Amino acid sequence: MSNPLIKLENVTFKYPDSEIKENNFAVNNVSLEINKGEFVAILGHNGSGKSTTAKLINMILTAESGKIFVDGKDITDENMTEDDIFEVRKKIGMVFQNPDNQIVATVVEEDVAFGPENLGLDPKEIRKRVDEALELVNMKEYARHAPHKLSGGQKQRIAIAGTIAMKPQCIIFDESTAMLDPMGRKDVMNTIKRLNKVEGIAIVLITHYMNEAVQADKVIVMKNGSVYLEGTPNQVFSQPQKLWNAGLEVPQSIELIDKLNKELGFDIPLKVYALDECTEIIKNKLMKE
Amino acid sequence: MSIVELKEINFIYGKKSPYEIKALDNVNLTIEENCITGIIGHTGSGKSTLVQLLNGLIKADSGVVYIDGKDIWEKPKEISRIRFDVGMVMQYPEYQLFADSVKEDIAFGPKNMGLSDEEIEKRILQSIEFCGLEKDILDKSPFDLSGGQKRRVALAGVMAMNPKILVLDEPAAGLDPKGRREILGGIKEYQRKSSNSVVIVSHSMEDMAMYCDRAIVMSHARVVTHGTCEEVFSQHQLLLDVGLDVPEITGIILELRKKGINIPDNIYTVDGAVTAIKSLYLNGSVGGGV
Amino acid sequence: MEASFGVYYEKDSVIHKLDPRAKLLFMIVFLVSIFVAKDIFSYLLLILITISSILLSRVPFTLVLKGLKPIFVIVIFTTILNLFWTKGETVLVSLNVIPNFWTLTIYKESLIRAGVLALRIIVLMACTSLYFSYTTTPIELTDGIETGLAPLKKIKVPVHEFAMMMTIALRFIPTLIDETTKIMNAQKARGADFSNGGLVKRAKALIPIIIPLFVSAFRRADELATAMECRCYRGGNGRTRMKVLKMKARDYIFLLITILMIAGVVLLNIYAKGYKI
Repeated sequence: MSNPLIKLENVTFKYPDSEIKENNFAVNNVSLEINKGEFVAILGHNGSGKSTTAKLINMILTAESGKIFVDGKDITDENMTEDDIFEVRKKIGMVFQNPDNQIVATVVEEDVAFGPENLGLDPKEIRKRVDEALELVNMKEYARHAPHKLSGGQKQRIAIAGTIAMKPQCIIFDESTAMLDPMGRKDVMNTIKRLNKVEGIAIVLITHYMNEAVQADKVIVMKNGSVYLEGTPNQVFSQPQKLWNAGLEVPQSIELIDKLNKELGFDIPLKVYALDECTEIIKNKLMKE
Repeated sequence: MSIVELKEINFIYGKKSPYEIKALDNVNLTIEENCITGIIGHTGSGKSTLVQLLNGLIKADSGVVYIDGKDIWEKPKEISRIRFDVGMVMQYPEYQLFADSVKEDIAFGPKNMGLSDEEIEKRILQSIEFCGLEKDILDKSPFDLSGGQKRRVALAGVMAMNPKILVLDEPAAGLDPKGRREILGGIKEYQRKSSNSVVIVSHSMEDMAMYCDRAIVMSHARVVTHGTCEEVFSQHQLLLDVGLDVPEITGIILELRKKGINIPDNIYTVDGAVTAIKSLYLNGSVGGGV
Repeated sequence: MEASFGVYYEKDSVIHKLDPRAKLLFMIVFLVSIFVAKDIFSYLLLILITISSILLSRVPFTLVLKGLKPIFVIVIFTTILNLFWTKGETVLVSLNVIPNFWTLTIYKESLIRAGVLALRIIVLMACTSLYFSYTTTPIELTDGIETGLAPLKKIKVPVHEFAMMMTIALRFIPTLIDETTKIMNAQKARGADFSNGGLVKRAKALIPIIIPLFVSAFRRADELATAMECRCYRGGNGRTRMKVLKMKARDYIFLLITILMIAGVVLLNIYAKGYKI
């Protein structure tokens, strides 16, 4: 594998004291890597530093110490110019939690065009990108609609389209599914997976939902500003106790197996199971008797 | 005993416009007292409309809402009084905070009720305890708190009104798992200690299964089914038909039954599943009769 | 509430298709014409242009009149002021309202002046709403302002920023209206009373709505700013647009008409033998 797309080395950040307390949690000595085309989920309790980490990568915030590399370039370098910041944001797109607060224009396609317009692209190229992006998120028929009349999931897909139209190498989703209903969440998750698998865009998914995280290639669990657990979904979710300690939970299938193991002395390995796999194992255990 | 009774309720949005939407279609329903009732359904199923009818924020086009046996619209001028009986916590209630201190904010509702200062003081202390807040928070500005704390303060502000029915719309939305557990646990404790009735609207089947005693399922402006959680969650096919997921654990149980394991089909919590599997395993009557 | 703001009336008319910049220019010239007009015939010309614009746009007359409702109060008020408190030469009516103290006198000149003023306001408002809201979407309008006024950037007028502010305002008006309803409902649920009591009490009752609304508006502004930065926004410099406005033949013809209009007004002022105001 070539250079990682994003690399954090011992990054620390502290909000100034004047900030409201919620944000007073620092990012503390965080090191992590995100490769090109990788799908990484970041889990953590509220205030664990996951959103702050995302904002550091996107240069909304500046790290106090440590180094952050984006596509090989050190973005913590003091000599970063405004144009350099521009380049970083072109590579790393971001979709936020509240769909209402990231849509700029009064017409869907105008909003999707906002990013490419800022890049100073040719009008024809912008048109092409906008159409492609809306196609990718399945919102083409809403191109001329007013965003405020759409559902939460639809708005969020518009926000995603607005980011894709800038052709980033990576998109960070900062709890982008938190305010959606189950249907909207499913739509957005399907879109995210398609972007990753088909378009090869690296995904950083910050979330509270375990069933979203199990779909990632890699899971990072943060606790009180530091990386607490890291690994494949199987590795991470095989440690239910640790996840509970971090204020999180595990999928019910793992909780069930964990409890069966403890109460009935089973030795079923803890990992992420598909429904069929999970029930087959339990059935076999029961049938043996 | 039922605390709420809805009779032949119809509600239409945008009446006589081209965008007419039937939000409630001849709904008949009772909500039992002294328990937690969950209302489940998709966005647009009519559940939010239903909830707003309960405290008279909106009025049905036809039909009657009885709270504690009384038609709430009997004297339309006194409709605001019903809001002391039916407390309502909206989605993302933290955005309603406004006072200089947490204490003042929680006192807003009780003050509007015209309670005495001592009574208000007492209720403030009670309600922050249910919401898992410490006393030292009372003098702080609500705007200096974390998101989760703000949510609890807003919740305490309604609990302090000690309503006969407490209605909550997605009380745990956007919180992390621990926050969800704490806030829903606090609501459960409040219900048990106060013996008031609680109604929770939520999308999360897992949460509903964990914290509710009874459930109402809504779809396309109608009540599809209601009853105890056991009764409702055992109607898997119906839930799937209206496009809702069953809790993951129920899915596992159903799959086990399909595979010929003789396990009861009314299980909707992990602990319930563990108990059932344990008894099967120990009694050895695994593949019976299917 | 939404309807009262930027009511676009969808039709495929010539007026709808005009370039917003051409409309902008027309409106500026029209405004000047109204104030330049001195002769009764020049007024007739302007009325004629207003009526034919409405006909061409295929927006129903009733809708335009309905839109004028809010300004009727102003029209009536200024008419009365003009009627009673300006002096002329020819007395029309003289009424001794309070003997030896106050005599109401209405002069012919006042009557005409009041009528003309009312006409000015009505024609101006009718044309503005027709060209700027019934036949132009808000986004076309902001685009028109941004590109049409672009030359003003040379004298440091923040044209782009102004257009961006307008866009964002339009985008967030419905959101904030929704939010207001939600907050009001939440406070009502806590027993707040907005409809009873005296003025002071009612004003006080608004605090629980206004404060959360402001807090939320600031939070939204903050989040939106971050989101815009993430999408590489750094002001108008180096920014291109997906839709480039292009003046077509009909826009040039329209501008020609605009020039003829002001020329007509000026010529009529000088040469027409109508009543001079």
